[in-house]
Amino acid sequence: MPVNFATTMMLFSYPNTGHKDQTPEETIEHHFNGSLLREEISAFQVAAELSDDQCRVRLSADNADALAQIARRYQTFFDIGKIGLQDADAFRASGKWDANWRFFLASRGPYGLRKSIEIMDFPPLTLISNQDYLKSKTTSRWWELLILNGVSDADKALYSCILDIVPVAAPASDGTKLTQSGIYNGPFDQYGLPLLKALAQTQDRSVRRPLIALGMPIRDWIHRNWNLSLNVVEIGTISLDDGKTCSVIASNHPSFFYYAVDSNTGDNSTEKNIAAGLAIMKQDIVCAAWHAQMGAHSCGRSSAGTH
Amino acid sequence: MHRWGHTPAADPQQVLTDSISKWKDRDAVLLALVKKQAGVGKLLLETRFSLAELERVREFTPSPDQLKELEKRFYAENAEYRV
Repeated sequence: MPVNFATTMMLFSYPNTGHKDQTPEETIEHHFNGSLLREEISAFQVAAELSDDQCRVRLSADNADALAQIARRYQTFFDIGKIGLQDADAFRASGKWDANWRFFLASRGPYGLRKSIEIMDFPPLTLISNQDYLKSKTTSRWWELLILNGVSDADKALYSCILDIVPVAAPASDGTKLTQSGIYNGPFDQYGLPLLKALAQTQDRSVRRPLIALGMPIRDWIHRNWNLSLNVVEIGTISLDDGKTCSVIASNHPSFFYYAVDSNTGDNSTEKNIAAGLAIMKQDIVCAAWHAQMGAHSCGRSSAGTH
Repeated sequence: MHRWGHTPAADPQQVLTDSISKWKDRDAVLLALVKKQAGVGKLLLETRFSLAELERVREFTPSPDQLKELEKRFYAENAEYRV
């Protein structure tokens, strides 16, 4: 894609924390390799080439048709990522940006043959050093719930195409600071809404992929953009700007469970903690069942060439 | 062709109804899952499930409003990625 070198570095958050030994090309290839592994593309090769005004990533694999479609989707992903970068620059210029925050696009996820879209608020900084968006305790927990609902271990990552409404990595303890900065109130909608539209698309023009709204900021985002109020374990539909609709379920943030099982002290705290965890688990397992079933036939190896 | 979701034959509301039914009255399984994901040591309950355990926690089940308050605390205390 035609893009200057500095922008390319920003799109890949180069250098990734703790990986300064990697060249820019190696970092880009690392992220593409991870994504393609999760697309279940076999025997692929990735080669990044950078110049002052272009970033070219050569992909090759046995399934050329599927790969071509994935490549187009990745192009769209990074084109919209550039919009996010502009949004970040504008927000930074407003003086509300914290020095510890970094622009960060979701990486190593399945952006071609995904089965559903998980909408979240912001990524923690640790994901940059992990160099893997799906390498987290929250994702692992949700995967366990999907597997209990019939998703195979091989397919679980296809359900975890994550859209952060704010592509800004922040310290784990900065949730309140992000909220108070106003970052969820629209500065990144020019990024998040087109990306949602792009990720939700399927070959069938009449249907879109299911959405999982993970957490309260996402429910607020949906309410602000679509005037749709959802409680946890409620579903609704939202219209995209192409006129198509998506079904969405409101779920808890996957980490809420961990907080709940450690939220009480004093008398009967053990029983209270487990009761809270059980109450949340009952909600989460139902949402995961819906997630698993709604995404079950949205893509896959057999249909890879048709998406 | 259904206009919702992606799985063409799936009605989202019906899928939700089915999902609720699937996990209804399976507290024993879910309790075991809670203990596994949270860490049994932290909860200080027996490794092996028993009906007595469920009875012990049932009276402490939070109400929907209490869960909402707990969620607000979760965000107010910046606990999203504490794990």
